[in-house]
Amino acid sequence: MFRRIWQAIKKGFLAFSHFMQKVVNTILLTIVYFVGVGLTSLISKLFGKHYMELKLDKDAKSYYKECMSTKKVKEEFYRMY
Amino acid sequence: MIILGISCFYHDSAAALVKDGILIAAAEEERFTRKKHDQGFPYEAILFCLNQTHAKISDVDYIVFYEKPLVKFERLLSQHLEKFPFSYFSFIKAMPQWLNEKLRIRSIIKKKLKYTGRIVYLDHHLSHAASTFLVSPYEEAAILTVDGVGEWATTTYGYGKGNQITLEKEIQFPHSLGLLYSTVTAHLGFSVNNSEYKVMGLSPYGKPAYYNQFKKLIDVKEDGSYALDMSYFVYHYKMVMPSDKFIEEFGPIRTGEGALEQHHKDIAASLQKLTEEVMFKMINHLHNIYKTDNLCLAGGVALNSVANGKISKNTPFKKVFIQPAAGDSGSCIGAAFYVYNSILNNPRKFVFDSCYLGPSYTNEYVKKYLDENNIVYKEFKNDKELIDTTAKLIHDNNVIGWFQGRMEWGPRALGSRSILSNASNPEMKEILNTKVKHREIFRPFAPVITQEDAHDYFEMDTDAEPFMLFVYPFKEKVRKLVPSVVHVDGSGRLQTITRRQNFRYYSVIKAFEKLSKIPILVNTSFNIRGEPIVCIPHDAYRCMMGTGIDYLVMENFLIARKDNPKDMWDSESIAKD
Ligand SMILES: [Fe+2]
Repeated sequence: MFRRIWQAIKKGFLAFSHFMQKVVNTILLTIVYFVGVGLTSLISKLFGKHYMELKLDKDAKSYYKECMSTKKVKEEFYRMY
Repeated sequence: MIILGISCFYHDSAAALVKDGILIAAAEEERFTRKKHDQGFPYEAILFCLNQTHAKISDVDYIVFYEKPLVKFERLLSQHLEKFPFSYFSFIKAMPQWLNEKLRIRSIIKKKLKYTGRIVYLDHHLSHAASTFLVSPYEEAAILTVDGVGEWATTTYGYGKGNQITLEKEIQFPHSLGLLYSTVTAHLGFSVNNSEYKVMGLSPYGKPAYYNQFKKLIDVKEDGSYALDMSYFVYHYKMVMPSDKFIEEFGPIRTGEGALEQHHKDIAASLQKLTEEVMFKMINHLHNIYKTDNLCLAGGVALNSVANGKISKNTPFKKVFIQPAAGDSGSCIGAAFYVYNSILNNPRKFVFDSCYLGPSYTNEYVKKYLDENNIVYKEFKNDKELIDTTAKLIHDNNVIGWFQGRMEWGPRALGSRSILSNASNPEMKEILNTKVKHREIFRPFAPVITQEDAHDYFEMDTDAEPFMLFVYPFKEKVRKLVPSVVHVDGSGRLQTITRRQNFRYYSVIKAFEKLSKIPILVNTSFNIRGEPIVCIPHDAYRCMMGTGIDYLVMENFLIARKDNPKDMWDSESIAKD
């Protein structure tokens, strides 16, 4: 009987801690998003910098870009970037 | 030298092991964990690869990861920087997995595998390119990779010669032929990264009535390079793919349960036509540059078997090689071979000509399993009895679960974990759908044919299609002989098979031919809708007992459903997309 109640309490605590973890994560990520990403994005936009090419270029002859994947030195293959 | 290739954390995690330049084992994680398209760390697949080689983790010289996580992360941040503040929800959703897993791949590998050796990271599309060229039969070939997205690249091309690959050009995110296909897949109510092939299967039912509207979505240059008009898409900053403008143009998003109307079929047909057109333009451009007869394709778009079947008619390439796991799961093979051949400069000595790279189970293992579970079975005396009995059961319109040898590599069942049935029975499509597959009625079933007979039945320009990656038209006069495997447009996504490739599988077809005069069977994957293909004997038995499969031919044993009447579970209740 006590064991079962104890198990239920434990389960409840676990679920609550997961929930709290999610809430805290979301709050932290929201701060990172609006402060870190947001400020950088706004400042970049002020200077006219873009991070992706979203526009079509009807006059361009080609959309192909240089591919660097096989033009690396050996050490670069050991890096995550 | 042992090299382990790994692909994971996006979809279809997998591992492959290359020993001294030979591919010894490869498998997708989903087969072991029974979670379809499992994207987690492929721990079980790695264990299998090591066991198959009788190796310990300390014997592994290199572990190669199929992409560069930090470059991919940089692309993700760029998306958010570009689309702030509209990407908020997608940022909150994606970040935890990045912080907990994707960026920690090095420590996950070291911790989970207790590995202390060298780890290499290749660019995603380089892994794709290597997964086709380095295991192809060609000394020299043009290479094209097309998928949803890797780090930044969504399409690359280049050439391979000997043990080296040079990728010359690429198209970058968000412009992606794969993501265009996925957007339409989502719009038609199918699941992304899973059901693109259903859109392809739906396309022959429609007319390309939306083709001109699709042309507005994409600007294609003469060299096949392309860019998408991003006002039609929101996948670069939202959790959904089509934009409101896309919906205005093509109508509301179909819910999974909604009826498939003619306009849905027309959308599928238009998309397929456009995809083929762009692919052929790119491929023709490659031929102009490289002037070779050989082409190697990879990436998720290379699984578009309808387009693949038309390459030789629409481009000058004479030979095309595609490895059966052309999508992300197959990249782990390329990752491992690139290190062995290209980085360490070892000559190539392996050609991918057999897909049977997964686990197998001995007769002793199967017998023990059957006995321990009180399953009623019959043991065949020899191969002849097994082959003749199976052919007769198929000829009598039974549905057979076929479990033999090493499991196939890649998304298709190719004669190890297959469901086989009578292709000449016009009712068979319906029987299979009612008894086992519970599929959408528009989806075709695929034929397997003995290689020497393929030209009598198909209008095809090659001799062999062993991996079910090319759709060809059936010859007009034979279509009525095998109605259950002829698609609405008269085509079939065939697998050819030889005695050397799979003796029992081939022999059953030959024995069936003696009874029916037709060297073709229906071959469909041995699974229930929503589940991965079966892997171990228990999966196979459970699948038979939960469905209407009549007999299971598992190694040397015949198990009849009617002799083991207890339903273990209700397959219908778990059937999902
Ligand atoms: Fe990919």
